[in-house]
Amino acid sequence: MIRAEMTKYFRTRLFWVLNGLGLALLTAYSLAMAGMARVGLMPVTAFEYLIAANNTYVMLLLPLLVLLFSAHVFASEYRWRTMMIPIVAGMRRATIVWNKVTLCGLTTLCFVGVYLVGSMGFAFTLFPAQDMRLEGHTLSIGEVIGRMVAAMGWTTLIIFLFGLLTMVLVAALRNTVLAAVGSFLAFIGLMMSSGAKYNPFAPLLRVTNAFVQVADLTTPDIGLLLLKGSGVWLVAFTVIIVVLLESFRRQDIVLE
Amino acid sequence: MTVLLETNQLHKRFDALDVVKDVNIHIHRGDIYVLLGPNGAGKTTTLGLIIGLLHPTSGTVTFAGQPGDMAGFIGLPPIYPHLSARENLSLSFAIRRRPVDSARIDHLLETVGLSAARDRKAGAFSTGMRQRLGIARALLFEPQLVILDEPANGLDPDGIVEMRQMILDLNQRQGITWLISSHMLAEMEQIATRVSILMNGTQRIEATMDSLRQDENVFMLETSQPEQAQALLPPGVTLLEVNGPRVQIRLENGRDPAHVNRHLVENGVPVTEFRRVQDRLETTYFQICYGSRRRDV
Repeated sequence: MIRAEMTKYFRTRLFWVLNGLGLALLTAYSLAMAGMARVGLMPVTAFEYLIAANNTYVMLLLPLLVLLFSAHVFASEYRWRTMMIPIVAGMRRATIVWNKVTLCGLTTLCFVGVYLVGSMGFAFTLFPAQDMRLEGHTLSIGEVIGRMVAAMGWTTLIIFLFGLLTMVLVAALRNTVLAAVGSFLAFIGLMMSSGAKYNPFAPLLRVTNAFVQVADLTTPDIGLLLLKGSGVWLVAFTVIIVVLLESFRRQDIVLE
Repeated sequence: MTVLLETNQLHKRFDALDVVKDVNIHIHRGDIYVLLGPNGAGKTTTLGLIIGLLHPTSGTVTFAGQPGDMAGFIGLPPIYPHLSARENLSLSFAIRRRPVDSARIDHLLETVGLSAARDRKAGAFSTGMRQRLGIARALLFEPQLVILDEPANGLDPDGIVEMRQMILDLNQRQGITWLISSHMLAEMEQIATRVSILMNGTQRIEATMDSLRQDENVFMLETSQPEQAQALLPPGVTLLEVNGPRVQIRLENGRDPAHVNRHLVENGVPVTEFRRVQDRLETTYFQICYGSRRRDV
């Protein structure tokens, strides 16, 4: 079934346009950073470039691309009237939702994968690859790459949550752009709330930062942070999935 | 014949509006069941409730087959516009987790007249081609019940005849049961075995075509003196309606129409035409929907 979903959406023009756009903007961003490095401005090393790219590209453009596509994979079934194909075939609505959730996860991985491969490529071709000093520790290049992949993996989980939120909004609003923008604003809101005193989502954000800012990841504090972060993610995922399943189960699917 | 699908007091309310009111449909295996009614009668909503796109406010839909034994579409057929006709049908196999049967796909595309366009993107199809692709998709897994909503929409006259032939053929050869919503009374009269007429969400009638055809005693005569014709109608003949020079009558069983015609002519009524009313479904439809034999009366 997920093969059907992948056939449907990995062959749409939008999938390739958004990935291409993402790669083109990443290229422009990386070249600009390399130019700044040449005139003595930051970033200087591959690791610094990756951190800078994470703080800008990953926090702004990447989620927008993912959320737009997540909205598309749900809204298009209404627009193309194809929502009736699995329903008339007797497929349970919950199965339809889970297929979309899986596809959302896969597409998020695809977009993040393109970014990871692209950014790593730029990092090690445009910037000097050298060991990284962090709180007195020296991190090898392999360790640096491992930490960046871990940080991106965690960020993928966060973006995935917002991809699901986008689907909830699509089911309610039936509008791709409104749903994507609404979800994107919620994502930005979460990012901006990282410094707030009482923020239940704070552990989610701190895990990403820990991967690139904490020298020793084997301390009990980091273990606890990971546990809390995972708990928050799980609760958020469960709430969003329940809302999505329930709203879609109750919905009268009126196709235009 | 056993009942394949039935609805029991099916009711749908949108906000404060009752769109479908306590509709009882009984589709028997082998039926070509036609849902008739003007725009806004509730036909598409009823189909939406049967297919499962909509939830009934009250009432039930009971299907005797397996969930996957139903196929069809409502309104404009669903398509993946960026995929070819062949890929669209292949995808249906993937959705049902079945291995793709290319021979079956090609056969159906040929059946619906889309062989030449099989590798073209469905998004570039005309409404008629899209309709054909929708029908091909509906037939893909040899369903027991096929539901079509205005299947003749966008088809040219040749296409309409082909579609009618195909429905009849599949009904007779493979025993496929059809539920069709349509406005095309004359077209549907040729294939329907059972009809239901909806009006403002209310089911006005559900009857077999045979029972409607039992009333084969309705005749129309045309004369320049309709009042005289009315006055001189012989016993066993009931006046149904007068519309200008046209007089519609019903003959009791056994009455010879030739005798009635001769009686009128011999009594000085200049009858210029005397024929059995051919459009019986149309007649019934307008009588049931509007209380008259023709809408323009």
